[in-house]
Amino acid sequence: MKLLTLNIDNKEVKVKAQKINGITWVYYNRKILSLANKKASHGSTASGLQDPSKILAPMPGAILKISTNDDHQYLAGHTLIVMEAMKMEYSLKVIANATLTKLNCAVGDQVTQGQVLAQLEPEASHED
Amino acid sequence: MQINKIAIANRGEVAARIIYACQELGIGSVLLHSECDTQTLAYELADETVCIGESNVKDSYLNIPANIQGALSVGAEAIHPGFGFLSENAGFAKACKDNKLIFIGPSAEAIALFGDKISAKKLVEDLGHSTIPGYQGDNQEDEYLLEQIPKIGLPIMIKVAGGGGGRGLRIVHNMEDAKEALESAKREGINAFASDKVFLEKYMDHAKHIEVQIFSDSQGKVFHLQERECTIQRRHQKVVEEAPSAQLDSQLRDEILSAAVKIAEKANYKGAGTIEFLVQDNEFYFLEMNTRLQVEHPVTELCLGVDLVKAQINTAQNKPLFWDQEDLVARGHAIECRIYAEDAFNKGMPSTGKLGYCYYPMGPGRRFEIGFREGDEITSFYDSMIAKIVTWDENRPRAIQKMIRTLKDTIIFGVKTNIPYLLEIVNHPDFTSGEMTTQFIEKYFPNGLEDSDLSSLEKNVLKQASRNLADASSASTHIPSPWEHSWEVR
Repeated sequence: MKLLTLNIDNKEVKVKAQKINGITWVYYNRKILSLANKKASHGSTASGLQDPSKILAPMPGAILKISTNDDHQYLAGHTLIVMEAMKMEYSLKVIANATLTKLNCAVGDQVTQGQVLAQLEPEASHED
Repeated sequence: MQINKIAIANRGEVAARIIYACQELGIGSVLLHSECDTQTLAYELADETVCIGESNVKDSYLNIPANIQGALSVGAEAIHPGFGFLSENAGFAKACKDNKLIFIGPSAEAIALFGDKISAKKLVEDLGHSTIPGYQGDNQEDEYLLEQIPKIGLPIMIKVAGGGGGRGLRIVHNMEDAKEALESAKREGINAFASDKVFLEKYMDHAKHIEVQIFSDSQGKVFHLQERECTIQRRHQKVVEEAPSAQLDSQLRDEILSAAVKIAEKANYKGAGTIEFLVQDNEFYFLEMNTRLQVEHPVTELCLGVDLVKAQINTAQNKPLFWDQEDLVARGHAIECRIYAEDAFNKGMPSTGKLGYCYYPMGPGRRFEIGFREGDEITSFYDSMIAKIVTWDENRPRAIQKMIRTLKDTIIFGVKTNIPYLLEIVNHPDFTSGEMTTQFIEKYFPNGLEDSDLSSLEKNVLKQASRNLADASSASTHIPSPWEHSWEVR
């Protein structure tokens, strides 16, 4: 951690700051800020930024359940994979109507962050 | 009987808590740890350490033979299980006894009795106290269980009979979701508690969570250490706890305290335990008994001036306690906030990584239960609690004031935390008035906090700071997340 004296709008501002793995952390005005703050939050809440053709493991954890059917076609919102991480169970859902093309994990697998768990082919859009 | 060395079958802040008690009592401590847990505070504090297995909990913290072997290998005479992991595992208590190790906790029989939530409910009903209405029969077929739901009346809760600590619970609001909820609860039961037996309860939709700390000394005399309120829960995991309760009719309080003592007496209970109730419309209903130290034990310690861990260790040695029932009067008010490594602005999604700079603002009436420090890794193998912050003051409004200031002054770099979320909770009018129910989070913060844009000033501060710091790669490797349920109440 470093105590930095910054010049913000011609005013001296003292902050505690640290860079860890490329992310800048700053304690300023009784708040903890980090440079990836905004990007990270938007990435996961705005569906527009999600790729409907893949389900990624957003953190390391274990696969508890995979819910497939015979024709491998799923409606948006279908829970395809259930994971467990940090004592909690989480559902990973298909975000657009799609066909499963490849499944890269099995029940019991330990997976790493960012691992592609399933590949999907989203249904072609009919509203031109 | 004198214990000279205690093995600790746990990790994180509770392991550190137990080591401090051992140090003060002049008893040696041995940390039984997993492979990855060598860079932690408890590892550094313990007199001795034994690696009992790989990082996965099944191979280490939940592995009974490995824990027993670890304790025996260094000549420990007793094992303290902390909370979570094997603390409520009757098989572990029995294995300790079979290997002539003192299990610091109740008997295996008492653990088994309360571990089966159905047998616990029956004991309480036999004493004439209310339990939550529902189905707790032996027919466990999915179809039969689903048929019971309309008889109880929606909404209902599905609970794993062997569950606890907020796990293995599902709320069902409509029949369409019932089948999936039942499957999911049974699956979690198998994974976490090795049994898929479930029972059904009417869902209480405007209740308060009130629990009684009890303690039974080596002669079997049961004391109550007043009540705590743990109404603020997210997905049945407690987030904010306090003692005494924020709002409780004094006659009802007396009834609850005496019911708790009777339940412990009936079960021939020994040591520290907590009996949990739901209070709704001035009636109380038995929920479950936790046969161990609770995460939130510090709020009781601060208000009553006791040390529950030392009391546990002394009781295990058949030594007397330092209190009588009339000494156990609450003074002032204490609040605890659990600091979790999770992104408050991203539905509470867990955050892992190496902890950076950590600063805990010491001050009068502030207690920090810390398990990890700068350089320690928060991994996905274990739950995401980094620390607990506890404040005590002369009354509830002041304890809240102190908590707000303490949370604002706490700094944790390296992982996202729920501190901004905790601040919103303890500042909320429903919390400060004391009127909150267990629906508080579902009602006001079902998805965590709204992502707030950084002000231009804040952006400027970050940019300048970034330029001034050592030149690590500035590229962030963000992965879009498909988590949908991380902070939603189910």
